[in-house]
Amino acid sequence: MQWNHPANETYFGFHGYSLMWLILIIGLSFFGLTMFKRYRLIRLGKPDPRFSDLGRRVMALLMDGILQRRQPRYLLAGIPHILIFWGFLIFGLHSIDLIVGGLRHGDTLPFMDGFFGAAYNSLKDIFQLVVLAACIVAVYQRAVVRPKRYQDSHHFEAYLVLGLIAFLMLSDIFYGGSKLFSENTGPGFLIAAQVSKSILSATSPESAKIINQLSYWLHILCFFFFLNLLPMSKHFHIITALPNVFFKNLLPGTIKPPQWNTQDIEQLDEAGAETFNDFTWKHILDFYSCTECGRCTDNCPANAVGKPLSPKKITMEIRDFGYKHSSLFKTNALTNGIILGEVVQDEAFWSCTTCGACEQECPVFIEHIDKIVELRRRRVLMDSAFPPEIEQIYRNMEIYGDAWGTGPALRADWTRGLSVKTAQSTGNIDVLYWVGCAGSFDSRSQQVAVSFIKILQKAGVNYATLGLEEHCCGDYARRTGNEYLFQVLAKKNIEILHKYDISKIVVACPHGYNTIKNEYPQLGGHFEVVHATEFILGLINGGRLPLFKELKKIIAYHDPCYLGRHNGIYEIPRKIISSIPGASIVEAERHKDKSFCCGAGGGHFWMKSSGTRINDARTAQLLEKSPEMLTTGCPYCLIMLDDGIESREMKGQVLVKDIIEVIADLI
Amino acid sequence: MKIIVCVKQIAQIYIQSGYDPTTNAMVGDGLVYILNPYDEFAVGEAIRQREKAGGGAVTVITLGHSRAEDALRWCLALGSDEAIHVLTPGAESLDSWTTASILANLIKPMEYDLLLFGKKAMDDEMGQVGTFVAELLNLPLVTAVIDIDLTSAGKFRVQRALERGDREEVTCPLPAAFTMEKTLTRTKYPTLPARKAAREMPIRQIDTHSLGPFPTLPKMVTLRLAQPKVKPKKILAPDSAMSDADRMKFIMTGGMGNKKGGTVGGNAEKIVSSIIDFLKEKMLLKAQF
Repeated sequence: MQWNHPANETYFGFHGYSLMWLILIIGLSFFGLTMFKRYRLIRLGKPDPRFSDLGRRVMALLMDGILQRRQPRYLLAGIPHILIFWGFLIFGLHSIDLIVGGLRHGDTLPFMDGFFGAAYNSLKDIFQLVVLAACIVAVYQRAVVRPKRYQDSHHFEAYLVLGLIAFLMLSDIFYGGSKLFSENTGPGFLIAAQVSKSILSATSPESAKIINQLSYWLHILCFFFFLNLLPMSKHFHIITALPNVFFKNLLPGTIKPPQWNTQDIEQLDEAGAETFNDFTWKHILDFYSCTECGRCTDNCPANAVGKPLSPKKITMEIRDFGYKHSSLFKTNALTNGIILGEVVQDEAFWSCTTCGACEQECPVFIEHIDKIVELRRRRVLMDSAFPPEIEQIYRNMEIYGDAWGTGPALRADWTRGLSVKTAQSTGNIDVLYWVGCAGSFDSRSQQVAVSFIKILQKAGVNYATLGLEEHCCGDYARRTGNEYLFQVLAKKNIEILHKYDISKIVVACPHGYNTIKNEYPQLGGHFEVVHATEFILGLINGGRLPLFKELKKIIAYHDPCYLGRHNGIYEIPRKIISSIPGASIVEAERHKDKSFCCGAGGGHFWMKSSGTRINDARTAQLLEKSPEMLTTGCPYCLIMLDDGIESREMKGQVLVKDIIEVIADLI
Repeated sequence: MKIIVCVKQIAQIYIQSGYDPTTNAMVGDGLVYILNPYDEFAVGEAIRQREKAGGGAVTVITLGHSRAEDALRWCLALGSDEAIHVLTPGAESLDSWTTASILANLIKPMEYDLLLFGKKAMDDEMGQVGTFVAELLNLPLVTAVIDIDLTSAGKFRVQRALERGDREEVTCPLPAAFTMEKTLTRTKYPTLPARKAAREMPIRQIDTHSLGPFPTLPKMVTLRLAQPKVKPKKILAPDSAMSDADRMKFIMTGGMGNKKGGTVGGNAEKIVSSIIDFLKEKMLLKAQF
């Protein structure tokens, strides 16, 4: 018994063929209109160069877009999502096949008849069942497990979409199964169709035919309804996520310059983001791509201690604002659309420590830090309205060249009696030791600097420091939004480094390391920069630093944000600790790229804090496995953890040391 | 309202010495130049008065070395409208009377309602230039002012801070000269457009000699200027209870200052209760805890 293809039937006097065209035209037109609105909105954004290194971008698209490497970090949500996503990739061809079939009076696409069609349709059928199961798991996750990170999401939308996906699966499964009544042998082994066929065999052939037609048309209608829903909901990511991954930020640890076509801030009259269209087109694509998964906020250290910062909320609310105020005909509503202080509150973005956990987790590679810094830039450089305690730090940096305000004359006091060489009096050095402000002025960090000198001298390294001419690297100025001050300091440092012909630099402070290595090139300073731990490991491996003593201690290593997440250095410090005779490592639950910030970054070392402190939370985490010593590779982390131990009155019970000190004690 | 502010750039005053590893010697040089803090209060007050009056201009004047231009640019970035630089290479060697005479000659033909100075410069601590200029220009003078206001009758009403939080109020007619103490309100941190405008604004430069005649013989002669003996930070004897490694570190870093009276440590609660115990012990608390 051969039935007509549903598109060849007549319904209430209308031929299925014309019905298909009608649905197609209406569906695509509305979709086109919405997409045009979204396009106009993104055109408002500022320029942003994202077309360099195409090879790396394609690789990222493959690894993180198609293979979804980040998804399994949350297993219960991640695996179903990967399966639904791969299902969608596979169904694409089938959807086209169904629609085209309707337009070609029942004929499927030409290449779907033979072996390819059989293989493809078998795979598609398997995935339909897989996706259906995944939808059920997803509903369970959202309705029963209710993870905290789903807070503030548009839940109705989520259930609606899961329902639509499930319905798309079911309608096609029943269409396929009912078709088997008519054609009996479909191409390939269609498992889902077989299942639905056996369900349908309980009904009469007339009912099966009705189900055949009904499921076909409902599927087509549901398909176009879903398509139109995409750009109006958080499921726009279905269209924008892959491009967003392709256009991801390839430069680690950097903050975007104030404007991409003008690096020098002295030429600008304005800086920072106040309105919607102060953001770049890529930022707007970010807003479009947010799936409200909440992984960012779930890992935000400020959020964890109760600060009013939720990267997810910021992204969602700016996006919703953009959608609300964009229309087909005029986009000028948005040139006055103020985000700063209205959609995003000051307390929210000033709470950020720029640790990068949000950016590490986001499966669609949304960049949060740049936007937060842009909002800060507006407050500092245009409104002159920022946390008051920062102003003195800015003045100190500008006048004295360091945040402490101690001044250049005292910068090298810590070197007294150590016979430290300077670039001013030594030519032809192999490496410059950039001490940094912490090492120069903070009494605890000075001890670490002294230890590093001991290592350099013991290993016979031909090094020098910049003596009194070193200035603050500018990291805090930049991250708190004072781009002007950052550039003043950076340009001065670059000039001095060029004056002494410096090409290789070793830095103990990850902030200085990150800024000189990754951000100074924006201003013309290109140097080879290594972190102290990289340098030390090189010395140990090269046999220049034999470790004589042993250290029988259980050691927990805290990954500094600017060494670990922002620059990918996780193994090197661990290798150093492993090379110490007697030492053993315990890892906090949050370690490596899941490490929890010490709380000093983003300017917070100098800012007042109230309520629970991030460093207290982090110290508690590190103490979970009862280590005897905490080590780290950053002077600010050192101070924060030291403070954390002291406020627990555990000083002396648990030692807190920089890896440099640990090694220096053993040589 | 038209306001003139006289400002001075001074060398960094707190640090006398530091160790220079390049020369392996102590350096006694300040190396850093700043706008005299009291002069910055004066500039801030001038800008505030201009805003309150709803219009006018703030002109800043400095008498000094060419590097004093940086101080003028900072004043412009804070919001001043105009800057005049009396280029005087040997400004440090002029006494207060000569400096005041030159400034008075410059200011005399200018139009102004208010003339402001910082109460003293923190490098030489003289505090005389403002007073001398007011005398030479025959202006009413009030020193150490913290706040300026206008009465309904159009006179200045200023506040001075006395001991123990007392305030003194003085009224005087326009135009008048005041030397400024730390003011109640402060300047805002300069914005980016303000910095750009300050960078691009032309500064009127005047040669000292064109402002004659002024006395060539100083009224005050410095007999001798003695710098403090350049010495390293005092190194304290390390605690013999420390380990060898700790003691070496202590010596090399100069140790931490051990003030008499001890320091309190621990968490916030412990510190607070230690402070309360200390205050109780010294019988400084009225209330009972």
